[in-house]
Amino acid sequence: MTDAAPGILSADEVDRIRNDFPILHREVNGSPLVYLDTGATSQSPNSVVEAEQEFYEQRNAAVHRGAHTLAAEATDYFEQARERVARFVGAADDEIVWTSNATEALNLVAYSVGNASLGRGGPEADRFRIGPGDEIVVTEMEHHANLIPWQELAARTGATLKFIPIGDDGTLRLDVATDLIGPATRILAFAHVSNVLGTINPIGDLIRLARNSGNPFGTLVVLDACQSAPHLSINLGELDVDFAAFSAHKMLGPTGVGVLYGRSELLNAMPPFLTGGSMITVVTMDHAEFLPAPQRFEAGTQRVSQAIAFAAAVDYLDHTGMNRIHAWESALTQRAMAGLAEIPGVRILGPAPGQPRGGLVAFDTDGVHAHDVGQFLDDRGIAVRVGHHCAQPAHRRFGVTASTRASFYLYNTEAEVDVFLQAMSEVRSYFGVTGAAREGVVAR
Amino acid sequence: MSSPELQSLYQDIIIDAAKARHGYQPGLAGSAIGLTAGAASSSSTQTATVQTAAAHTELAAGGSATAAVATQSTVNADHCAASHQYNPTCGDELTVQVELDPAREGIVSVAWDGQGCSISQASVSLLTDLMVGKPVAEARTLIDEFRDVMRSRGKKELDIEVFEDAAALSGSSKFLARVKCAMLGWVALEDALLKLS
Repeated sequence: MTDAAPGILSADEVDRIRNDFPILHREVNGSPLVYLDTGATSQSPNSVVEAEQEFYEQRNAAVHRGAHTLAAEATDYFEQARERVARFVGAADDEIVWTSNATEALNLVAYSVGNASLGRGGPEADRFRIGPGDEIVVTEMEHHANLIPWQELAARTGATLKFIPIGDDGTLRLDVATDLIGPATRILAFAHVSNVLGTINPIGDLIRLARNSGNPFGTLVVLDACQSAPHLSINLGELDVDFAAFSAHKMLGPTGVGVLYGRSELLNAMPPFLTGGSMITVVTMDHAEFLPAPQRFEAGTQRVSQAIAFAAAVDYLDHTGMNRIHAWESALTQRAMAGLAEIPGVRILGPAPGQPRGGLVAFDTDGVHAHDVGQFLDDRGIAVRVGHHCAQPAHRRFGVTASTRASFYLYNTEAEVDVFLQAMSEVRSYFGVTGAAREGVVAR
Repeated sequence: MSSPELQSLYQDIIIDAAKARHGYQPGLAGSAIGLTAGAASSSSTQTATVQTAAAHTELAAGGSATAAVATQSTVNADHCAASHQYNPTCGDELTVQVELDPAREGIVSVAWDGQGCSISQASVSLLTDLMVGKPVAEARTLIDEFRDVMRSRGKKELDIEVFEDAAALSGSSKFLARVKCAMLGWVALEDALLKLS
């Protein structure tokens, strides 16, 4: 963006942005769609859909093999996409590994560490070996994708899994983290932004604890950036994380492609997870040598069109301006939180209004199950997430099994927030929780 | 401003049944293993096993209006079974316990514990009302018919003469995401009956 661009999107600009997203103009159950479920998956602008279509219409071919023109063009576009996504998150090209999604990216690290722990990868992989007496530290607010791979790794290796608890205010207990992270800590894995609480975790403090853990091999820092890369301007190189995972479909891109970021030095020392074609140099009947990163982690036919469309998505975000997008979603989130706070029986999970928060708000509605809230909202065309959002421990921490979550992005408007709040103000009486009569109910 | 479809889903009879919770027996078979209960480490599969095993020995320890038949002294694993069902997408869970007569031909009592959305709660409450006193063979047929209607995407309706108040659940079949909610209790009863066959 030019220097003259204001620090936040304008309402007119958001209207223009919305014109790039055909799906936002459809009706749902007779009402205009109000899409407040970007936290689960975002919508894609025309430029993203067209990039994928253009690839299939003009240059579809397998990459990194074949000598024909289409193969060369496909490879060129594929690698350009890697460069564009790398630049977007402040990484070098060879630090970006394509995966199917963020879940696979996190599993890749966990399984590669597991392979190193079995002695794979030679002496340079010794730094990844873990076993009994070693500790893996996660947080109580993790998405299952950044919890279960570590549970499994601990079970396979005999390492111990520990977690940093959530305080009553929805932030991590840094006092506990300080005690927990020490010489035994081999891995620290945490979400940058909680997908339930919206908490923006103190990444600098946590990385400092990891860097000063006193572990002779150093503590590996793994960042779940699924709810931050789409919404905040981040520079993974400057943040000094060792690994990070994020997914295209939460940031205007297609499904089927995600990224593992890893510091080059680490990726090149780590044994592979998936093995097979395209990731090797010399293969004999009983042995294989592997390519350097990122190719050593990209076995088999790659998700080429998705990667290219992903690059179109980050271009769109870059062009709009990440700081301006974050300012806009923050304004929408605060508007939603202020409105929800006025509605009796609604309890917001996570940091209080005014505290730092990603562009989402999850809440409990007293007396009405989240599924019923979601159904009521859907009847008016409002799409929200209901359930445990793949984060059961975070819900359990606040005494609920499920919640309703509204999440916002660059294409949402203040008017949409108001439609959502109006519907929310009617939910409890519809389900007969308050004294007010339910309107328009079929009598039997 | 609510659509007719939404009103057909949330009829008064559904909302009322979700609140009335007929057959609800909190603490049934020590089933306080819910997500809110802080049992952080057990997986749903493990939980289900424990639940089912416990149900055999602690049957009807509490008793309720519709399930006050069995007492500790009359507990007989040959005539009683329970099934724990879990909906992983929303975390709803339900344990349904059934007791048959000594000949194992008729349902003497149904009791349940669990938590969930209004559809799953109403459905199991209405199921309890419908099934107590029914021959086992008829109960199985009713469960099959219920499933058939639920899977019809709104094309079929439950016969009010047969399903009584539970016929109000027909509206759920139009909402693909809610069919599982409506089915939860019926699947649990089916599974419990299977254990006694």
